[in-house]
Order: sequence, then structure tokens, then C-alpha cells
Amino acid sequence: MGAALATLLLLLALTAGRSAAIPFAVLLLGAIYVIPDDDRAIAAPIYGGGLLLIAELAYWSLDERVRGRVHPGVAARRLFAILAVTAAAIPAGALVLLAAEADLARSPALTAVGAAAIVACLGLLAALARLRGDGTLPR
Amino acid sequence: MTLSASPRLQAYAALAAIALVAALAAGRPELAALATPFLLLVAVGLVGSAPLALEGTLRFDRERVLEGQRVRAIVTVANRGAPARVELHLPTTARLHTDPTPVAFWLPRGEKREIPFVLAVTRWGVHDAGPAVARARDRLGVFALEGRLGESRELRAYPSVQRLRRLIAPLRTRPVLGSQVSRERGEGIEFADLRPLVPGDRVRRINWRATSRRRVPYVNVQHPEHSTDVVLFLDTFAEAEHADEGTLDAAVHAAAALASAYLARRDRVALVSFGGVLSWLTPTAGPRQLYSIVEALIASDVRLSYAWKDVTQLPRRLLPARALVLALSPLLDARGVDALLDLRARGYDVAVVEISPVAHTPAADAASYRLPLRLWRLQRDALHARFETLGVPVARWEYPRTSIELALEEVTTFRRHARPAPRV
Repeated sequence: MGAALATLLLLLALTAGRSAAIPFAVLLLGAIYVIPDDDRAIAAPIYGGGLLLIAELAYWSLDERVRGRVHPGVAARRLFAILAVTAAAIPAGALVLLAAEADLARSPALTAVGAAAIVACLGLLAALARLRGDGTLPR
Repeated sequence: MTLSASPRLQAYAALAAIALVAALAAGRPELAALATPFLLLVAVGLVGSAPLALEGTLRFDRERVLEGQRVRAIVTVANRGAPARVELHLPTTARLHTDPTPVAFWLPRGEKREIPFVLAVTRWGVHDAGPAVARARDRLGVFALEGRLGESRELRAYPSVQRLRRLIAPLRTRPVLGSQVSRERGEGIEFADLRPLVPGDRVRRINWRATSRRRVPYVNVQHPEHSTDVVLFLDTFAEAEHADEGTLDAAVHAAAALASAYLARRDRVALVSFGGVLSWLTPTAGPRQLYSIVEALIASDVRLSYAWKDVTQLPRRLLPARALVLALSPLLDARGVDALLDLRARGYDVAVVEISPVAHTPAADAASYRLPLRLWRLQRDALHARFETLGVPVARWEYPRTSIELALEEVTTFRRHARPAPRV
């Protein structure tokens, strides 16, 4: 049911040319993976890489909606870049899982590092939120 | 140029933040693993690439063309920033046509690419071509740089000049040698009359046949060949335009053709653009004047103005006393009409070629507009009658259906049968 809804959202985004539906489809696919608590066929880092690939290909499709004369070799460069990031993300995800499995004693310093990481993530989010409505960077 | 970020950066950051918070709250590390690829892409996109920077120029193989011709143009794009996918939108306007399909290519850092294309110039005028608009995206498509490449270029398109075989003969000429057979009598080629010999007459002018018949010496009198002053009066207060063709188009083409023909006959030609912007060229003969007139014509335009203008604002040297004032007007604006009537009242030899706006009226065939159109046509007929009462011929020119030569012939016919009294 969830997968069908996510596919529908992706189809809606691609046919209507509205990118806003893509994150919701990805979120739904992520929830499908996480909510059942039993053993999973695909490891989380691979699944995460797959989610990124789906999202990237969907956004790329929307970028290419303007028809034009495309010289050879243009699409290959972006494809290689996306595949490279996806490939690098799988070991990075595995590293995150390994770090989570590590048996570290609780300490105030470690808690502070964790809190700082969250603050950094939120800071990045805030910086991106400062982008103007049309996506233009502030000068 | 404007630098913008892809909306997916915000979406990925938001997804990652939700997943990380959920991972902490629920104690589920696999959620953090799911967020990692999105965080990685955001990080690579923000940190991993140099800023985008594009420069570009537009150039043509020539900057002066005839309308209807094609110009070869080249857009040069130079990349001063990160390697980018460049999408180039070629410059096109309503009067300058080219293939509107954008061209996409990959441009490494420090390199430049030349994109040739052909620009079709459909109408006369001074056109501002370009600049081309480019959109550059980095390798991952995270940032986009969008804007105009360089400056626009001026392209001057000249109207095609029709060769006219018949022209309107002026009522009065100036006593300077030319190609126009004068109505006066003197020495020339065209026979005018006979008169008795008077002291000072040349022997070669004696008409021996008339002399022998009358037993008194008679001499031939001819019409001298003089030149004339022609003032081309362009009414640019208003125009009717439909489907890229309008009365101003017709006026410019006709003025160019008339100027070319009169100047070829060694007449002096002046140009008055009487409209929202008043401009003129004083009467001069010679081929340079033709270039000046055509340059002035391609810059002519209809500009809205509520200022009242009349002929007193024109310099006196622009309107020589014996000039033929040949008006090219759609007769749509009262200021232009009044100026022509004023010129006639001042004794000028005025002829009007009315460029019919009816053909450029989109509602001409609509049934609901039949009555207003009929009234409008009646008003125009009344205006014609007003001109003709004053001895001003008005010839209707249905551009582009008929040639201007037909209208000129109509003026000549009118003058043959109803000549206005010359100024005293």
C-alpha cells in the first residue's frame, strides 16, 4: 500500500512537473523500510543509497523537461556523479551503523559531541532555509 | 547573472534532519544510515564544487542587412568557474527569428565554445538582438547560474526598395537643371509652343515650316527640364497593425521607394516624420541623401504622444515654396490631418497617399462590427471629400494587396482633371 502510494506520488511529481512531491515519496519509502521491526532483506546503507538514487533520478527528470539539442556526453557526467555519490554513501551508511554498534561508555563529552552534531545539522538546514523562495542565494 | 540552488538541497537536508531526529528519539540507528546518503550529497554539493562563472559575447557576420535576409551569428561562451552543463537559449524576438530550441553542452573549466546560428530578419528597423540567455549547472546539478551573456548587439535592417516606374509630377519646379519637364516655357527638349521671333532668339530655334506658312519668322518654345523639391511627409502619430504588417511598414517602404526614384531624377528630397517624435531631413539631392533618408526611416516608430503639433514647428527651410508635399498617412490622427490641411492652406502642392488602415483591422470581417465599421468608413470618405474640395488628391492604398504605383497613378489622374490653382 505504502509503496503504491510512493510510486503514485513520484508519478504525480514527474507528470505534473512539481518537485514538491518527491521528498514525500522518499519519506514514505523510508517509513516502509523502518516501521516493520523484523529482519530486512536489504541492508539500511544500500536501501538509503537506493532512496538517494530514486530521488536524484526524479529531480534530474524534472530538470530535463525543457526540450533542447543536447550535445553528446552531457548526461553521462551527471550520471557518473550521481552514481559516485550513491556508491560513496553506502560505506558511509555502514560506518554510521558500525559507530552505532560501538560499545562506548556514556560520558558528558560524548553527549556534547552528539548534541553538537545535531546542532550542526540544524545549522546546515537553517542555512539552506535562508535561500530565497526562488532558490537564489543571498548575497 | 543569478546563482541559485536546486530545491532538492533543502528537501534532502529536511529529510536527513527528520531521519536523524527520529533515529535519536526511537534509538534506531538504521534511520541514521538512511539519512547518510542525503547528507553526503548535500555536503558534496555545497563544499565539493567551485563557483560557477560564465562569460559570453554575441557577434554577427555583418551589422547591416536588408529585411528578409539572414545573418550568421555566433555566441561565444567562456567558462571561468567550475565545469558546467550549459544550456543556451539563443536570442530571438518578434522581428528576429531563429531556432528557439535551447542548446545544451558540457563546458570544462577555462574553455570556451562557439555556437553558430542563423538569424532571420523579418522586418526593417534598428533591432536590439540578444543577448543570449544561459543557464549553467554544476556536475550534480546542485547550483545553477542563470542570466544574460554579455550585451545586446544592434542590427540595422533596411527596407527593400521597390523600383517605381511612374511618379507624381509636381505642379511647380525649381529653376535648376533636372529630369522633370517643367510647365514653364524656355529652352528644353519637349515642344511647348510657337511664338514670333524676337531679337536675341537663336536662328536654330526658328520653325521653318511655320515661318514659311505665315511669312513671319516663328521660333519653337520648349518646356525646360527642371528639378523639383519633394517633401515626403510621414504621419507617425498612429498606425494600424495586424499580423506583423501595418501602415507604418507600408509608409516606410513607400517612402524609401519614392526617395530613391526622385533622387535618381536629380530632385531634392526632404523627409518629415511627423508624429510623437518630430524629426526631419532638409531637402538635398544625391545618393548620400538616399542613405540618410533610409537611416532615418528605419529609426521611425509610432510613439504615443498627447502633445499638439502643427506645421509651425517645422523649420522654414524644410518646406521650400515650390515643393511637392507627398504625404504617406493612414489618416488616423487629427494632428496629422490638420497639418496636411494647413500646408494646403499655405499654398503648398499637397498629395496624400492614404495607407488604408481598414485592411489591418482584425474586426473587418466580424458581423458584430459591421455597423461601426460602416460609420468609420463613411467618416473616412467624408475626410477624403474634405481634402478633395481643397484640391488635394487622396489616393487609397490597400497595402499589401496593391502596389503603391496604383495609388500614385490615382493621384496623377486626379490632378489631370482637377488641378488646384497655383499659389499667387
